[in-house]
Amino acid sequence: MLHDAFWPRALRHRSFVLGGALVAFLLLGACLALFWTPWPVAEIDIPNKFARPSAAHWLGTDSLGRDIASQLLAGSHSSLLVGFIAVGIGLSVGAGLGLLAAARQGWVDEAIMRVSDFAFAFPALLLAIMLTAIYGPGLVVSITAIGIFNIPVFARVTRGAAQSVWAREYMLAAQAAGKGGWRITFDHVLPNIASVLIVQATVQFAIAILAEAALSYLGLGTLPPQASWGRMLNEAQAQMFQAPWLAVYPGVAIALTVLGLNLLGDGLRDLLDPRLARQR
Amino acid sequence: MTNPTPIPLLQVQDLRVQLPTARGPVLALRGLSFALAPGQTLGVIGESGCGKSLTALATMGLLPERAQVSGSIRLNGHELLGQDEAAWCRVRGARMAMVFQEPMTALNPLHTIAHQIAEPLRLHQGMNASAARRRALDLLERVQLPRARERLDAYPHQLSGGQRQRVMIAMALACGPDLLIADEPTTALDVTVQKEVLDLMGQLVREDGMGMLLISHDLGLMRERVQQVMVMYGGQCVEHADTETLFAHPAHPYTRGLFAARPRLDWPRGTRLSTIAGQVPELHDLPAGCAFAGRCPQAQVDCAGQAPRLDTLAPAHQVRCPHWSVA
Amino acid sequence: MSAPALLEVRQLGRRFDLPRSTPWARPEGLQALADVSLRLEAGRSLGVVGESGSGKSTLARLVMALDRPSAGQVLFKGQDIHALSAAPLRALRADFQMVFQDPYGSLDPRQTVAQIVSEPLQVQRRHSRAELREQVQQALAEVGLRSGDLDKYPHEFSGGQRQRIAIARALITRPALIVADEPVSALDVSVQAQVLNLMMDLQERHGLSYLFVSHDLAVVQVMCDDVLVLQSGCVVEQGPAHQVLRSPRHPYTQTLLAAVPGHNPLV
Repeated sequence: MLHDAFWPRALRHRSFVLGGALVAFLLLGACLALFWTPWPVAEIDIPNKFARPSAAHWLGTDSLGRDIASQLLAGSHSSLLVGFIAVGIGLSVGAGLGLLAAARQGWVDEAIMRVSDFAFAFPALLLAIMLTAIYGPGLVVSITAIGIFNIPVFARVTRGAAQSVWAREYMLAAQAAGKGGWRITFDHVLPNIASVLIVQATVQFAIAILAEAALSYLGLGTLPPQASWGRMLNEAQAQMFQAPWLAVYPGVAIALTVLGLNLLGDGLRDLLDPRLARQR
Repeated sequence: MTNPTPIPLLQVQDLRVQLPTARGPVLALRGLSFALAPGQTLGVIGESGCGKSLTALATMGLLPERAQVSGSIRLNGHELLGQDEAAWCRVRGARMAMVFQEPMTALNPLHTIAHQIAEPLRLHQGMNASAARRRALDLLERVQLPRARERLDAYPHQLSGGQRQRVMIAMALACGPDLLIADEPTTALDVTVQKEVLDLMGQLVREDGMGMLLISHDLGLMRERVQQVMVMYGGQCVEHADTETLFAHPAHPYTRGLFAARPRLDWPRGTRLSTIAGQVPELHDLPAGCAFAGRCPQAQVDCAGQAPRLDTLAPAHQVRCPHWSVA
Repeated sequence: MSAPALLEVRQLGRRFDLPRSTPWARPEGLQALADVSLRLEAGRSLGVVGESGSGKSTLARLVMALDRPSAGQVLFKGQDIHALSAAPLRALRADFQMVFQDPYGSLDPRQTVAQIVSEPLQVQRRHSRAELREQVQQALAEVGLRSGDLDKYPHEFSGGQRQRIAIARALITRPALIVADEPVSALDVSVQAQVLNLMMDLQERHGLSYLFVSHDLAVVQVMCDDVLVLQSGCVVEQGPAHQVLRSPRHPYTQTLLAAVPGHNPLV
């Protein structure tokens, strides 16, 4: 999958480099925020509310006097957590189901696909609202809802890619050698569809971040004092006429993160394209 | 080759094609020259990587963007290389047409047969839909497609391989081109169907007085189907002769090797086949002298250093080997 | 003959259900193979000749237990391979292996040559990693490849070399039978000759039997003792190769022979 020619080509690919830079920037900020932010995230300072950017508050303060820059940095945590865990759930459960469907075919395939069709049709938002109604709002609920939504996506993509691998002659050769279905899936199918899954994962990561922002905006996601870009947007909406610039910062943060992930995914898709493995 | 006519139908001179590859640019066609008189048929024989398909693509102007072409290709005296895409489009389909190897991928699966055959007619001859449809039916009957009238509105996947290839031939002939290029037209077909399709092509070419360039890796195909044969290796022509002469007295060691390597129906079981030592070298690794020197059973000391020229043995027989033998 | 033949096929049939036009319509069937019987003794080769749709690939798959028959039996060394349960079948597979047509599709592009060639042996679980590697080196040497090729990937090889890798893979468990499905059809003429010679040498050296599926009659003549001609799933002619191919009796066989390019029955 990654042969020696990968890094030289990767570093020349515009999408990959730009996307990679943005994502790296995000990750750096998130790591930094783990042990330092310019100001304590939840510190309220009402006299200083709606302050303009200054040396003390780099991006100014919000309606409660909280430092915006610190909130942005800390907010990346919920976004990243949701991204990794929700995509992780989707990937492990979804890809597992997709591989099973492709390997078994017949009624197993039908059953898995119909269930995932149903899950697809069910809006993630509705699911999140239902779960919130039962368990109360919070990050865990968001992650669960988004994670569940990711499962049919990965199931579908994996099944499609795995089916095209099963049609290859080397699969028949493995069966002729006496290998069983699961061994063949791990030895032959997974390595050949890995690039498809990686690319899909970056796309789903971006979608998860947007979904978390949406849920937090609706008040269904993270709760204060935990910072979240989505909630920042929600609060900014209330202050739209007094301090319209408040919405810009979280909006830009979300946009840049999603852009970075999409570009990275585009770049990876081009770079890992099996056409390269086909060159003789 | 035979009596040169004043304006050859197709004249290729010193055609060179350079392709970019992961290992740098490589010269895939290294100075190919041949001429085709009107109504003459030429077979091009070679194995993978010899450049035979590239020759066809270069003649049709279908090489990839990044390929660099030099030399001259003249169709009816008109220079094809270097013209803009619009000029190419006027010639393709109208004055010269191509039949490809894989009829399933060469036909659009989403369009009916009638639509696809009518396409060149409407494009080059400005026919309206109904006139084009009538002409398409005529063409299908000419290529002996069974139940042509019903098949007009069929889709490619509803036809067999041989039938699709007949459709492709009908498309190629639609505007009455002067030159037909067939690139491995029957390789993907069954043996019995191959014979029918090739017979059909030969008949149509004779009837219309077209010139034909038949490209294949199968030597046996050439017998009784083309007047002359050109053998290619390493991007060059290594032998060019009348079909009869080539089959009776192949002169180049590679040609002789190719003939010898085929099993014959009258050989006993277990006969070892004669082989050509080694394998086709990568285009990047072609030796300085004769491209075949490393594998040639008759190679001599000077072969590796000196690139041989095309010598004329006889009026209709050229060989690129100073040590040729017709023994 | 008191000893059972190495491979015996009895009235083998395979029917495929075609997709239905409506959910309640009765499924139409395609009879890919009907009533095919053959015998192959140890050390001999049987050619299976036919065009597309003749069922020759289906036959190859049924003999390799890659598909279940609708009727009939496949007996390998006297055992009905389709009646065996998973474990005994897997053990028996060491004795019959397959070489496929497409040198580009039959090797996993993500695996090294060592992994590809050792696969059939790995499945048998009899050897350690080091032993496997050694066996792979031996197999590669037998097909004319070098030990340095062990850790390379398929895309680094030419078509002919890849087919050699496929043959090495088929040889590694020292099988008695190799089913070859058009093993040289995708190769250049000069490369075909090399691979066919290799297959003949291997047969003599190891006493292999081949079930050789091909559309190329001249190749079958040179490689096989007996030949079976299939048309639309049925056997139309069967017998010693030189007899069937020299003086065919069935009209279909005669048509096939007449269609061979450049074929002159008198020469």
